[in-house]
Amino acid sequence: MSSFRQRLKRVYVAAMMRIVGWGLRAMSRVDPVVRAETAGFPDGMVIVMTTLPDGPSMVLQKIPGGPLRYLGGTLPDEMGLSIRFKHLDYAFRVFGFIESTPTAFARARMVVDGDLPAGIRLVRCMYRLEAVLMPRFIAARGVKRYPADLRLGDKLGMNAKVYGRIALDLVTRS
Amino acid sequence: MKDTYYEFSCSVKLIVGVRALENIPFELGAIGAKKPLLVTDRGVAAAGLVDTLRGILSAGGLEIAAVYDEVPPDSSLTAVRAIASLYRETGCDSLIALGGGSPIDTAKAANILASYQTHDPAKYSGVGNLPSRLKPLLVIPTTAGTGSEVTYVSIVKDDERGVKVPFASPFLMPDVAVLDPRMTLGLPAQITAATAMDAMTHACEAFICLAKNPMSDAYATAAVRAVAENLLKVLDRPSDEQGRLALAQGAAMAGIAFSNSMVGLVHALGHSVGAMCHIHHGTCMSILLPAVLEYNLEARRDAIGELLLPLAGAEVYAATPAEQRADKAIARLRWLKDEIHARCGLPRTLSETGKVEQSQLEQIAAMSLDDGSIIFNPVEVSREEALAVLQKSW
Repeated sequence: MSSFRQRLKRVYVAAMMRIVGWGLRAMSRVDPVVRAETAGFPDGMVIVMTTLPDGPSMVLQKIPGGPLRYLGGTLPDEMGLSIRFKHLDYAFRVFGFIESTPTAFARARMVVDGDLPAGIRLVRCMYRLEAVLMPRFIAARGVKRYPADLRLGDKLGMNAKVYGRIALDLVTRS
Repeated sequence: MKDTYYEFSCSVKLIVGVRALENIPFELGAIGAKKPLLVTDRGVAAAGLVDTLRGILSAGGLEIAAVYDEVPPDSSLTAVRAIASLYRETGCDSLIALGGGSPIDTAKAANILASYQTHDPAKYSGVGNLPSRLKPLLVIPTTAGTGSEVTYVSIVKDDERGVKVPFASPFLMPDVAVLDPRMTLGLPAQITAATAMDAMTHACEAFICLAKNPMSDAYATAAVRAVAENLLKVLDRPSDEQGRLALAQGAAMAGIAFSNSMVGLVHALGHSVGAMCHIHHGTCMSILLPAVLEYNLEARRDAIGELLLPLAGAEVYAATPAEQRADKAIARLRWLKDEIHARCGLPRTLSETGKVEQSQLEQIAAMSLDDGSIIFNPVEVSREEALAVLQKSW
């Protein structure tokens, strides 16, 4: 593959990881489904999603008693949960909705280490994020089952809340 | 199938059949092991299997250097550390695990400490955290169900923290597994049935879950056939050596299948039932399997239908219209459960165990959603759906 295409993929994955990081941070504040899931993370736990061998990466932390905090893309020394894509191309296929998250797990595209139950919760959060933020025809390619109870009106309303919260977080840098 | 991709591995040498144990001195000698430490539990020792093995090895010129026979039923890090200490003190150079899943998993974890000369297993827990090969490990299963003799996983309980610690690495695969019918002949009927249904569940889930692949499918269907054709025969005639051997092979094949394609909702629910209500893992699997297959039916109708062939044989399969095969396969499993129950009283429902309160089902359902197996189930599972499956199994 040409190095130009490789660079494009890297930029795309880095951008998507940032969007996912921002999105999960926002949804852990405004979406009751993600809020309930993230409440189950141990306080202070650092969650890392990265691509071998050297990124891009996304780091989140569970604020004690509260929502998630986005810590950027620099890998910390200690992590409670890490999901490492084995190759940039595998990350690109997941973030490009070419391969669903469960299929990627089944094909061992990534290595999960640390708190496994928290990893399962994180996957459900990502399903929810995809279902809420992406058009249905795209989201349906990334998740096992598109939520039947997510009607268009609810989705648009939640969409506005999440993007509003993302904007607010960016302005206030919270 | 342009998008086909899977990974498959099993590096364990299997030595199978009548007088297979007699080959152990040669096998260990071939990999340079002269002073093995035997890891087992009290029940296996009390059944005389340690003495049997010692006699056979001694006649072959191999002496067991030390024996640790205090592995608890759920394994434990305390036992793991004690075994590693004993290994060092007695100058052993290899391990033999003799028993069911607990002694085998314990020996695998003890091998990490013994090989890396450490007392701290924590830094090696998780997936892929072993840096190099371990000391030789030979495994002799005395049950036919867990498949641990061919998997790269070990799960050990941390008594102090009250959690289960998983280790997963290709280096955890035993070097050799020996399946000898003499080792399972004395297994009580209910344990025989429960462990065989554990193997049946490994195979069925391997065949329908998301990571299924042509290699694991081949092992899975062969395992289903081995259990379906031999379990009732063995329950009727416990001294049936060939039947016992077929079940042991079925368990190993199911182990190879599921360690390469993972398991799903039966295990997610079963782990939670086992943890909360202290029911034997194989019993949980037997109870939950048909209801979970029904839950997955619409997503996996074709695959479940294919299971009818190894479950019921060619005549039944051929006589059943394609669209009815999946339902018939599930009905066949229910029939098998009834037949087992009639022979040895293995519970068919959660209520028959006498250990599960209906009020616990909601908590079990919630707990199962965080189990690692659930991600490989072909259908996404909500808490309400998990609860419905449990109620169906009540």
